[in-house]
Amino acid sequence: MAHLLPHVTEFLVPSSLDEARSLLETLPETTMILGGGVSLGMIPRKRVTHVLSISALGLDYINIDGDDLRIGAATTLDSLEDTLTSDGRSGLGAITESIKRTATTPLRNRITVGGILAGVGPWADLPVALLTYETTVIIDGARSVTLDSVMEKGPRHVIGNHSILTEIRVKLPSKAFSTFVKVGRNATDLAISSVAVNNRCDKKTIIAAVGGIVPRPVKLFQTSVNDVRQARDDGASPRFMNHINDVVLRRDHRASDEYRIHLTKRLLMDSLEHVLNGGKA
Amino acid sequence: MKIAFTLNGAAVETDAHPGARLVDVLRMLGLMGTKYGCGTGECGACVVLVDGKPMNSCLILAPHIEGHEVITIEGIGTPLNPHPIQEEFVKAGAVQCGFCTPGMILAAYALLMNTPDPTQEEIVSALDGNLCRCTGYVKIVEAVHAAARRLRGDIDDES
Amino acid sequence: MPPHEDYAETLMMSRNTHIVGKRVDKIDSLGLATGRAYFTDDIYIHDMLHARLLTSPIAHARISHLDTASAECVPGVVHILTHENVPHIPYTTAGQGFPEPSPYDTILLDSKVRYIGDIVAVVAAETEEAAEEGIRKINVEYGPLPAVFDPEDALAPGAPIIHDEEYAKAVIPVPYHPECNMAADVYFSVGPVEQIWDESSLQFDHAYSIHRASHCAIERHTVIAYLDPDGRLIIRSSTQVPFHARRIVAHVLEEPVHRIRVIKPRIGGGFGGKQEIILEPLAGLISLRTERPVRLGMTRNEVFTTSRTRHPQRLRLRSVVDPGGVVSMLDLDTVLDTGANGSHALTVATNTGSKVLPLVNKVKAVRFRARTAYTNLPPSGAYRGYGATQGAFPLNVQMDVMADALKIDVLDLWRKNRIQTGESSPVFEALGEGTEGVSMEIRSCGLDTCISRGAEAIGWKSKRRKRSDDRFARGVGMAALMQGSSIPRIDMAAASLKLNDDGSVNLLVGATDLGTGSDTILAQIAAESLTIPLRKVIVYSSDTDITPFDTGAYASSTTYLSGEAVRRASEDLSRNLKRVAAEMINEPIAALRLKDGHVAGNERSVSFSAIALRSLYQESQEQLCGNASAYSEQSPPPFAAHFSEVEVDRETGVITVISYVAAVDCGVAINPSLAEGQTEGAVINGIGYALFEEYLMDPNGRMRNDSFVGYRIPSIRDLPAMKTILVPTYEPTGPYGAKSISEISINGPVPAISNAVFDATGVRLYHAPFTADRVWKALSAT
Repeated sequence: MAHLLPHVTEFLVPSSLDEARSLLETLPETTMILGGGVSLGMIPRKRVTHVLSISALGLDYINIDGDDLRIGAATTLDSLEDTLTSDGRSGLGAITESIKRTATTPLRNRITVGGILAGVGPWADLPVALLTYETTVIIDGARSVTLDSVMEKGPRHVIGNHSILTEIRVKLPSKAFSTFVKVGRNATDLAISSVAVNNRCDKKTIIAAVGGIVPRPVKLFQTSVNDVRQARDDGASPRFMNHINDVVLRRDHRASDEYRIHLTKRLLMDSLEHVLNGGKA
Repeated sequence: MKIAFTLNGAAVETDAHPGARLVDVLRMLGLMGTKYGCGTGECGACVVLVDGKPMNSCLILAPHIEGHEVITIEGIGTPLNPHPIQEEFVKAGAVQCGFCTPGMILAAYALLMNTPDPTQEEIVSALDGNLCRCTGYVKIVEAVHAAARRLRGDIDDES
Repeated sequence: MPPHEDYAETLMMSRNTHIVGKRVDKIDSLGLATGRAYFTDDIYIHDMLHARLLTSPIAHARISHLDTASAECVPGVVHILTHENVPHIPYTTAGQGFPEPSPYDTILLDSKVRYIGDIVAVVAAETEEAAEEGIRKINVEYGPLPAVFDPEDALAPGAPIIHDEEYAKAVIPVPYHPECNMAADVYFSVGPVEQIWDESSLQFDHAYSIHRASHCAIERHTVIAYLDPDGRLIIRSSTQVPFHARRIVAHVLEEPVHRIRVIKPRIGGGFGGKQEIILEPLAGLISLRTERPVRLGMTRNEVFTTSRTRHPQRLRLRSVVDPGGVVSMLDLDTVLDTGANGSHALTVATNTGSKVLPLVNKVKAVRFRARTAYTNLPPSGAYRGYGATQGAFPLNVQMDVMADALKIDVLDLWRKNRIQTGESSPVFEALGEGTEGVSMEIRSCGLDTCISRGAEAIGWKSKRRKRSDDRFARGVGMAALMQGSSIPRIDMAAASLKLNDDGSVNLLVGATDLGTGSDTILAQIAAESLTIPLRKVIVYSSDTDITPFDTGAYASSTTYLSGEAVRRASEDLSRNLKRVAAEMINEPIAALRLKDGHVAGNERSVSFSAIALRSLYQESQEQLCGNASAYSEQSPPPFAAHFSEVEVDRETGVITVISYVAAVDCGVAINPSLAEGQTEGAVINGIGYALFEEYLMDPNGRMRNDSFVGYRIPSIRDLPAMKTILVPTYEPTGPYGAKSISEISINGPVPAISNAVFDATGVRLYHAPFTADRVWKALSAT
């Protein structure tokens, strides 16, 4: 078949962040920063003339430093899943589940964490989960921004054209139960709606985020555990659920607006019930 | 540009356009077993093993393979010397049109090299990126179970 | 539950066969499993051109201006086809027997476009990138015409006329009215339909709809065309119909048939999508003009829009049942959407009735009306099931409705009404394929056993009508099905055998193996007839220069008809073997029989090899052969009963198929493993079709989701617990008792799942696909 990027003339593999940054200063705007390259399957980028790969920047790492989980941008989803699973600590359920539900095995072997965030869209599952934790994004190894602001303003805007997303940092909770659920047309579809809920037992707050129905994942609300318990016991529709009505739905021809809102509310209620029960069914 | 990598155990150096797909590089090297089904990383007909892991070669840019190890279906076994996984696929009736088969077998191979006694869920997960329109997957699952038993050297009542 | 049952009974029924009825390995599997077998695209000819299509971005328009000057200047572009430089011979793209029952409404490239995806031009270049660049540089201006996207709107007065060209015509005497956008009109009525309706108190009248779908064979449509050293055009194509392809290419390019050869290599799936001649004439023309090999293939996006789809249908079924449970009237009316091209417009319409209505044959009146409309949408064509898929939906749901109204088990309703051995239906005679139908008496029918064994396997008694108010509701539903085995009096298959030194044979068949395993099945039949091991049958198929004729892989004809041709050709060779053996062992021919690769008399026997060596080299030399053709007066239906267990999440509308049982009567299964494989593949395809496969069209007629990202087909994660039960019967007109199997099971999931959802929730799903959104809305409406 035809070349993936027919107009590419240079494929650059810088070996240091400084080298990468100075290249980016001089390269044209038709330059693509390459993580796993999987997004090329969904968004053809025929205009690209230069490719800058992050593969030799030493960004393929997962370090736990006290309560700081630091994930290099070139870490693939499958290696992140392996590490978190073998690490065995609890409280990261939403993160591991969101990875398991992303795409398929061969794609997870290539999708990088940096690639997901820098090229985020409604299809992204991992950021939905990460939004329910205290997550920051490191740019160029130095500048730190919250994941919330990246999702709100858009990665292009926050990262800029001459910078590289280098690390994702998650503050590990001392005690939490979190869950991630996703519904598509079939088991491997992109999310029609996805919901992550994190019961931060250590802070007595519950944070919820949503994806699929919005252009980029968004945090939905953060409220006290007692609020949620009360609402459940009252049987009334809680105030914090109204946040769903406030989100700006993206257009999705696979399902109606009405259904997607209803589905999201249902997934949220199921998830809240799940985390209130300490993660038991 | 010149690209050097290991292909089915042998060092290879070839010339490729920097925007070329790995699947095309492999096919231009005469290895036609890796197929092209969609170009968007969904069907898995182009799956090869890169450093032991299945990946969609239609989405790997040629220069990105520099220095890595690639295994294609031709590296697993041949008609006169097939790999047990290939034989079990044949015996189970898991091969109909055969277009998805190379990718499917490589995904199963990678699974069994890492997980010699896979559960049903592990098999399903490992093969979830390989679409088949002919078999309905039933005999493919049987084939992988049978191959796992055989590679473990289990003694079965039935062959 | 184990996925398949022991097939011991078949061995008894197949009268002690040594290879028929056995689970032998498919003869081509190893080549495929090692990646060595060649598909169309797997040969590389060093000076090959690469060709790509320019397709229309607009649903209905005249091309007011087309300029290839800039495209011709792109370095590497060698030749461009447009409507201005190709022959304009009307034809149908449908791969059917001649004269085709589909209208000749197509010319190679037209000055009018009729759907988004319609082919406007073809660019051939040294590299694929240059061809893509050339496509981009073609300058086309379109004068838009009003478009119509709904078949009923298209049939209404005042609708824009899609095929207003003078050349559009039907080549057989059937109703064809392109001036009203009517591509086909089928009508048949027997008995006093309205009277029975009026007199009955148990009247049922429901509307159904079923949707457009894509075959999604993993291998895209691809053709390589080149000239041999004598200048003959060789076409290597991923096709189900090599002989029709040869005839149609000859017709369209005004070349003699004898100057064209079509070869089918391995195919990566067809399912009906490759029963169409779309790329072959274009590639052939470029090759003739440039005298270079050319490769022309569709991208995956183009396969969705520019090949063919399943015919969407809107059906209305009226039925009457008497209080004793006998269905006395069926009246099925359907409108089909054939898209912008009429290929298979008539025959899919006819099959919607002919492969469904005979199942319920105690009726006193039955009527069928089908109208097929042109629309400015991607063209519909042949797709596994071929109308029976669409018709099985209303019939099976309505049987469930009627049983519910009578408060009886639907299995009992089926037992009271189903056709059985020794019976017939007026539908057989009434509905042919553009010609008259063929009256037929059922000679084999295992439907009762399919129903009872399938019901037992799914756990019918313990799971049926256990509806609760639980959020996760479970239920079971079923469907009874039939199909056909070849097209009677139209399809023909032929086979040739030649004997080699070592007693092996070359078997040459036109029959087209799509991966279905037909090469293996036919080899088994030859091996059985000739009493030799399977490995001594060398199969070569589907090459118009070398193999005898076969209409191709469609209408479920290969096992039944091509298999019969092979059996007869084997008998022919057998007679020749005996003739020579009689001389060699000096015994009368009447005393001779074949046994283990020998011809044995009362006292002596001689091996095939000895006979071969004598005949090839030593005495009265001749090449021993066997040749035969077969066509059929019958199309004996396979039958099936499918059972589905579902779980419905009332809160989200998500349907999960928990388990599925397919009990199938295909007569004697020549190879049970392959028969199961066909069944399992068809069922999973049907489940995807029922639940999530869907064309999402925008208001301008563009498919929004033309990729595997956007159009979902089942992955291994979507596999339910599956059980296949082969119910043996013996079809006296079929080779070794065989019927067909390859289409029937795709018809089960839509109705079985709908009926299971009703069992679980009390809500009827009349409109497919049963997406979560639709199901949730249907549940909320109650």
